[in-house]
Amino acid sequence: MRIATGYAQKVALDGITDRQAALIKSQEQLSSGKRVNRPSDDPAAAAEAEKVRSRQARMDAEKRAVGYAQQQLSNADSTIGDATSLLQNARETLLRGANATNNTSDRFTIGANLSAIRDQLLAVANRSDGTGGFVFGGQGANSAPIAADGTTYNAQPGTVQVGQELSSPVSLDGRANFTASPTGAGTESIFAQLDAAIAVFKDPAATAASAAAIAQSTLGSVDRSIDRLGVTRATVGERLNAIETHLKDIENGTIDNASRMSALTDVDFAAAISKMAQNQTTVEAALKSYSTISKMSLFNFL
Amino acid sequence: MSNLLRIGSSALNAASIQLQTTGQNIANASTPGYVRREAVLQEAGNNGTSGFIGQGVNVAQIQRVYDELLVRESNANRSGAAQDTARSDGLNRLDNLFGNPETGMGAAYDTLVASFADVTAHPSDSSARGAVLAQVSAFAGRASQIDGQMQQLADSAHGQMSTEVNKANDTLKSLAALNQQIGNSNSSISAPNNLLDQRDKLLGDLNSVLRANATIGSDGAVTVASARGEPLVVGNTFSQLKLVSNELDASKLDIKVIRSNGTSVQLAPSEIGGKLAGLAQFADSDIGEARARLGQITAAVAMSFNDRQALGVDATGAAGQALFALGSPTVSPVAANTGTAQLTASVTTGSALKASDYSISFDGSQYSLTRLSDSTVQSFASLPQVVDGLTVSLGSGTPAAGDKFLLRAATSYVSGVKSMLSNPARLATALPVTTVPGATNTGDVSVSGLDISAIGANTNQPVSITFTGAGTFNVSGTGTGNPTGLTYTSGMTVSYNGWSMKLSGTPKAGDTMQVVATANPASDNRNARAMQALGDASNVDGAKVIDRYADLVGEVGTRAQSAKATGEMSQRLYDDAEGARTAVSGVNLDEEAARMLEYQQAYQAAAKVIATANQLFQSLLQSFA
Repeated sequence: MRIATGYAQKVALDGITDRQAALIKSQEQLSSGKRVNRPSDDPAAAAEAEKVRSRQARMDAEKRAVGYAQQQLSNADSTIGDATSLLQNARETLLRGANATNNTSDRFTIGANLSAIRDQLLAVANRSDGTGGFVFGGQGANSAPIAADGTTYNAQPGTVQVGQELSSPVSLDGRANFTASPTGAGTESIFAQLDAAIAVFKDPAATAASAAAIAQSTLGSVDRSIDRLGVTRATVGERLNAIETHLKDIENGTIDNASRMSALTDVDFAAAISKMAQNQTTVEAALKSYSTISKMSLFNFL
Repeated sequence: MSNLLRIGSSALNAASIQLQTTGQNIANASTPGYVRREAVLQEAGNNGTSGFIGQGVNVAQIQRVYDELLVRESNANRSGAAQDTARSDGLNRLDNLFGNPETGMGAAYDTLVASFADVTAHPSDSSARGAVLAQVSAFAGRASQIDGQMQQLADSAHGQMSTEVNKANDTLKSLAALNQQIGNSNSSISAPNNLLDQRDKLLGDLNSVLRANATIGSDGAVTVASARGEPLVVGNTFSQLKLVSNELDASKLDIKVIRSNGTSVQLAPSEIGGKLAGLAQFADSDIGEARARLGQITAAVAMSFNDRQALGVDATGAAGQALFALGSPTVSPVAANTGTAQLTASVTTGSALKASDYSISFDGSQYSLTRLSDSTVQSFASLPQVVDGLTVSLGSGTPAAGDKFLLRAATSYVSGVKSMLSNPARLATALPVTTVPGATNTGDVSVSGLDISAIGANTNQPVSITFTGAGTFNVSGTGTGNPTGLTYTSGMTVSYNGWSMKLSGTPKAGDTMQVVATANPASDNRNARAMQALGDASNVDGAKVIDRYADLVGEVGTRAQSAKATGEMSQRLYDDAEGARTAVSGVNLDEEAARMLEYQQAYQAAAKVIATANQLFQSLLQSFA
C-alpha cells in the first residue's frame, strides 16, 4: 500500500508527541510524589481520598477537643488533690479541737487555723481552669462560681462536655462537691459547716465542751466531703483513662488513614522510575527512528 | 515519415506534460487539501491511410486521484473527533479545578467543622468564635470561587462556539461561491482541479465545526446538508448559523440556521454535531451538572448550619441569626408564554434539595414539574406545592395552557452564598435552656438529650417537674398548662415550649427537675457541639456532605477520563480514515521521483523517435544528391 509522504511525517510526529506526553506524565508523578494528581488519574481513588482526608480532619478536631479535656481533667485531678489535703488538714485540726481540755487560747488558735484552711479551700474550689473558666464551674460560670459565703453557687450545676465520639467533661459540679452536697438526709455546704465550727472556736464565751462537740460533728462533714471528692476524683481518673485509650485509637486511626491515603494516591516510586526510564527509551527510539526514516528519499540517489 | 514525426512529437508532448504533473505533485506535497494528479494518456486515433498504426499519444485529461467514499469517511470521522476532543479538552480543565484536595470544598467544609470543635472547648473565647465565623466565610468563598471558575469555563466554551460559528459561516459562503465557479468552468473538457481541491478542503474544515453531508451533483456542484438533513448549501445559495439562547434556559446556547430565503430553524447543538456539539455538551451539560451538585451541597450545608444556629442562643442570650446567606431560586417564564403568571420558589428544607433545576409547564389544568437531572415528572392541580425541599408558588397573574417556566434551583444557590455574621458574640453556641436537678433529690433521676425543636415565646420560661412518687409527676410553668399526676417511666421523653428531654432513673417523692433559662450562654457550648455533629450528619439529600462531595469529584474524574478515552479513540479513527484517504490522494515523494525518472526516459525516447524520423528524412534527401 502506498503511503503519502505528508501523512507518514504526521504519524511519526504524532508518535513522538504521544510518547513525550507519557514521559511528562511519569515525570509529574515522580516530582509530585502522587499517582493521582487530578480526579481523572483515578476517579475512584480521588473520591475515596476525599473521604479519608475528611475522616482525618474529624480525627484531628476530636484529638484537639479530647486533648483539651485531658488537660482540664488533669488540672481538675490536682485541684481535687489540693482540696483533699486541705480537708485532711482541717480534719487534723478538728481532731485537736475535739479535745474538751483545750483552753480558750488553744481553741482560738484552732479556730484561726480552721479559718485559714477554709479560705484556702475556697480559693482552691474557685480555681481557674487556665482557659478563662473554672474547675468547678458547672455548666459554665463567668465569675468565681462559689460565693464568699460558701453556700451560693454562681453557676448552673452540672458539667460542660466536649468531644463527639468520646464525650468528656471539662468542668466539675461545684454545687454537688461543695455548696450543696447531698448528705443522704438533705444537703450541706462544707464551707458553712467549717464556718459554724470556726465561730464557736473563736468565741471566747463558748465552752470547751461545746467546741469539742461541734468539732466532732464537723469532722463528720469533713469526712463526707473527703469521700465525695474521692468519688469525683475516681470519676475523673476513669475519664482520663478513657481519654488516653481514645487518643491512642485516634493515633492508630491517623496511621491507618495515612497508609490508606498513601495507597490511594501516592506514587510507587520503584514502578514510576522504571516507567519513566521506559518512556525515556521510547521517546529516544521514536526520535532516532524519525530522523533516520525522514532522511530516506529516492531523491538522494538521483 | 511525417507520421513518425507526429507520433514522436505527441510522445514528447505527453512526456513533458507527465513531467509537469509530477513536478506539480512534488511542489504541492505538503499543501493542505491538495489531491495528487495524474496525466491520463490515450492512444491517438488511426489516420486510416496506412493501416492501424495510430497517430501517437494524446493527454486525455489531468485527473485528480481520489476515492469519494474515503473522503466521505474521513469527513465523518473528522466531525466525530472534533466533537469528542472539544469536550475532552473542556473536561480536562474542569478536572484540574478539582485537582488539589487541600484547596477543595471538602477541605473547606472540614475546616469549618473543626472550628466548631475548637469553639466547644473554648466557647467564651471570642477568638475561637471568630475563627468559626472566618471559616463560614472561607467556605462560602470557596464555593463561590469554584462555581465562578466553572462558570468561566462554560463562558469560554461559549466564546469558542461563537468563533466556530463564524468559521462555519465563512466556509458555507465560500462553498456556495465555489459551486458557482465550478459550474462555470466545468463545461470545458478539463476539470477545474484546483477548485475541486479547494471545495473538498472546505468540506473537511466544515466537518470539524459541524457534521455536514455533501452530495456532489453531475455538474460538479456540491449540496451540503446538516446531519439532520437541513440544507446548508444548495448551488450558489447558502444558509448562515447564529448562536441563540435556548428558549427555556437562556444560559444555554442553541444554533439557529438562517436560510437564504430568510426563514430559519433552531437546532440543539447535539443535532449539529462537530466541535459545536462537543463544546455545548461540555458547557451546558457537564458544567451545568457539576454546578448543580456544588449548589446542592452548598445549600444543604448553609441551611443545616442556619437551622441549627436558629435553635441556639448567642453569647448575649439572643436567638441565633443565620450564619449563611444563599442565592434564591428563580422562576423565569418562557418568552412565548401567553399567560401572565409569574411563579416564585423558595428553599424550605435544605436537606431535601436535589442537584437539579426544573422545568414547569401548564397544560390548562395541571402544572407539570420536571426535574431536569433525571426527567422525573410530578403533576399538580394547583400551587403552592413543596417539591424536593422547594416551595413553588404562583406569585401573580394567571397561566395559560402551554406556558412554560424554568425553575433555576441548584444552579442558583452558590451565586448568593456568603457569611452573614461578623460579631463573634452572635455565634449561637448555647442552648436557651438548661436542666437543673433539685439539690436535695434523693432519687437518681437524670436528664439526657436535652434539645430544642423550635424556639418559641415560652421556651426559656422556667418549668418545674416535681415527682410525687416513683411513677408520677406534676409539671408547672408558663406554657405547660400545669398538668398533674402524669405517669413516669424511666427513659420517657418530656417536651414543652419547644424543648424536649429524656428522663431516666428512679425518682423519689419530692425530687425535682427544673428547666430554666441558660444562665451563662457565653460559656455554654451545647449548641456548638450540635453544630460540630452536623459535620457527619446525612444532611445532603440523605447523604453526608463529604460523601456527596466525593461523588462530585469522582464524577468529574470519571467524565474527564472517559471523555479522554473517547476523544483519543475517535481521533484515531479520524487519523486512520485520513491515512486511507491520503493513501489514495496524497503525494508520495519516492513514487514521484520514480515517475520522474520514468517520464524523463519516455521524453528521451520520444526525442529519439523525432531524431530518427529526421535521420530517415536526411537519408532520403542524400539519396537524391
